[in-house]
Amino acid sequence: MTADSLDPAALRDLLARAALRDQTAFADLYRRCSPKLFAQAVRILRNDNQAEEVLQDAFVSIWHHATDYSSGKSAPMTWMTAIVRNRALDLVRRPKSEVYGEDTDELAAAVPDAAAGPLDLLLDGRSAAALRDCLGTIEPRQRQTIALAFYQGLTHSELAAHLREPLGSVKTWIRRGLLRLRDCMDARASGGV
Amino acid sequence: MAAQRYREPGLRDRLAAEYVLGTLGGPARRRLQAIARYDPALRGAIADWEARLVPMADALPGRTPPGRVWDRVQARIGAHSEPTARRPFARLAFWRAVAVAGALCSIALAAWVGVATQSPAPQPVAAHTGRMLALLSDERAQPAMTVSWPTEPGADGRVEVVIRIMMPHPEMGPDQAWELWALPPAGRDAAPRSLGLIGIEREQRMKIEAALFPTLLEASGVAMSVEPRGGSPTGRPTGPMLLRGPCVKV
Repeated sequence: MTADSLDPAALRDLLARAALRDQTAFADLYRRCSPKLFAQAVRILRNDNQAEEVLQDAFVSIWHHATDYSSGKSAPMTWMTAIVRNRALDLVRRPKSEVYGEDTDELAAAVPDAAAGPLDLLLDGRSAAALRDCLGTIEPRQRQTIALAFYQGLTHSELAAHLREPLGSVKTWIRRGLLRLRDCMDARASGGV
Repeated sequence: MAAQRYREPGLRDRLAAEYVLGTLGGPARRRLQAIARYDPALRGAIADWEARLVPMADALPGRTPPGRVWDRVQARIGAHSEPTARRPFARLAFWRAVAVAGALCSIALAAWVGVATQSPAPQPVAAHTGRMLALLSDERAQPAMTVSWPTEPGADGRVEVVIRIMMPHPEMGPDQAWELWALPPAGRDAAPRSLGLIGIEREQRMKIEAALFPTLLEASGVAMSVEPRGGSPTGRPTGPMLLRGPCVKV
C-alpha cells in the first residue's frame, strides 16, 4: 500500500461515488482503507474473528452512510476510523464481556509492550502535523499513557494494571495530557498554522 | 449519574475526550452514548475530539484482512448477487428477515390477544386501554421498526411511546439524528408533526407531551427521517424519510 492510496482527496472522491451506489468505487475504497482499519480493530479487540466482524459491519455501515459523509467535516479516514473504533470499543466493553475474563492483570499482560511503536511512527511521519507536534509537547509519561489507551483500547484500570501505577496517577496523566493536547491543537487551528 | 452533570462544559469535554480515547468503562461508555443521542453539545464535543485524536490511527501499520470479509460485505450490501444466491450469508439474511417477520407477528398477536402487551418482562402497559401500533418499513418494504402508544394518556397527561427497532444493524451516522413524525390523517393536507429524536437501541420509550396526544390519536402513520444533529432545524422533515408505515388500533 502506498501513501497515496490514502490520499484524502482520492478517498473523498471514492466516498462520494459510493454514496451514488457505485460499487466499483466502494470496492476500491475497501481495498485502500481496510488494512489500516483492520489493524485498528485487531489492536483493540486482540481477536481476529471479532476484528473481521467489526470491519464487516463498519463497511456495511460506511456503504449505507456514505451520503452523510459528504456533508461532514472530518477527513475521510478519520470518519471511517471512528466508525471502526466505536464498534470495536462497544464490543470490547459490552456488558457480558467474557472474551478476556474479568482478570485485568491477565488482560494487561496480553498487551504488547510495543504500544509506543505506532506513536513513534506518528511522531516521525509527515501526516497529521498538528497532532504530531502537539503530542510532542506533552510530558512523555502522559503521552505514553494516552498512546497506550488509544491504540490498545484499555480502560483506566486496565492501564493502571498494565503500567503498574496507581489508578489515580493514570487518570491524572490522561486528563492533563488531553487538556494540553486540546489547548495546543486549538491554538494551532485558531492561529491558522 | 444525572444527565444534568453533562451540561457542565468542562466535564462534558473531558468525558467526550475519554470516550474517544476509549478509556471509559462499559457502563460509563453506554451512559455517555445514550446522553449523546439527545445532546447536540455533547455530540459536538465528541466530534471535536474525534477530529483531534483519531488521526493517531494513521500511524498503525496496515494489515490486510482475509478475503472473506469483503465477500460478506458485498453479500450484505446486495452487490452483484441475486436474493436467492446460494452464499451462506445471503441465506442468513433471508432467515434474519424471517425471524424479524416472526417477531413482528408475535408482537401483533400478543397485542391482539391482550396478553401483557409488547414485552414479556418489565413495565407492563395497562391492559384495559387499547394501543395504536405503527409498523415502519424501509424502502424495500422490509419491516424495520414498530412504534406504539396507548389510546389513553397516562396519569400525568403524557403518553409513553414505545419504539422497537427490528433492523439487524441499526447505525446512525456521526452527524445524524433520527426523528420520528406523526403523519396527518389521510386526505388532510397537513405537515407531519415531530414526535422527537430516537436512538439506535432495540427498545426505547419516550414520553410525549399531552398537547401532542390528539395528533397521535388521529395519525395515519408514523415515519422516521434522517436529520442533522439535534433534529430538524425547521420543524418539518428535511432529510430522507428512511422508514414509514401506517398505524392500526390493536
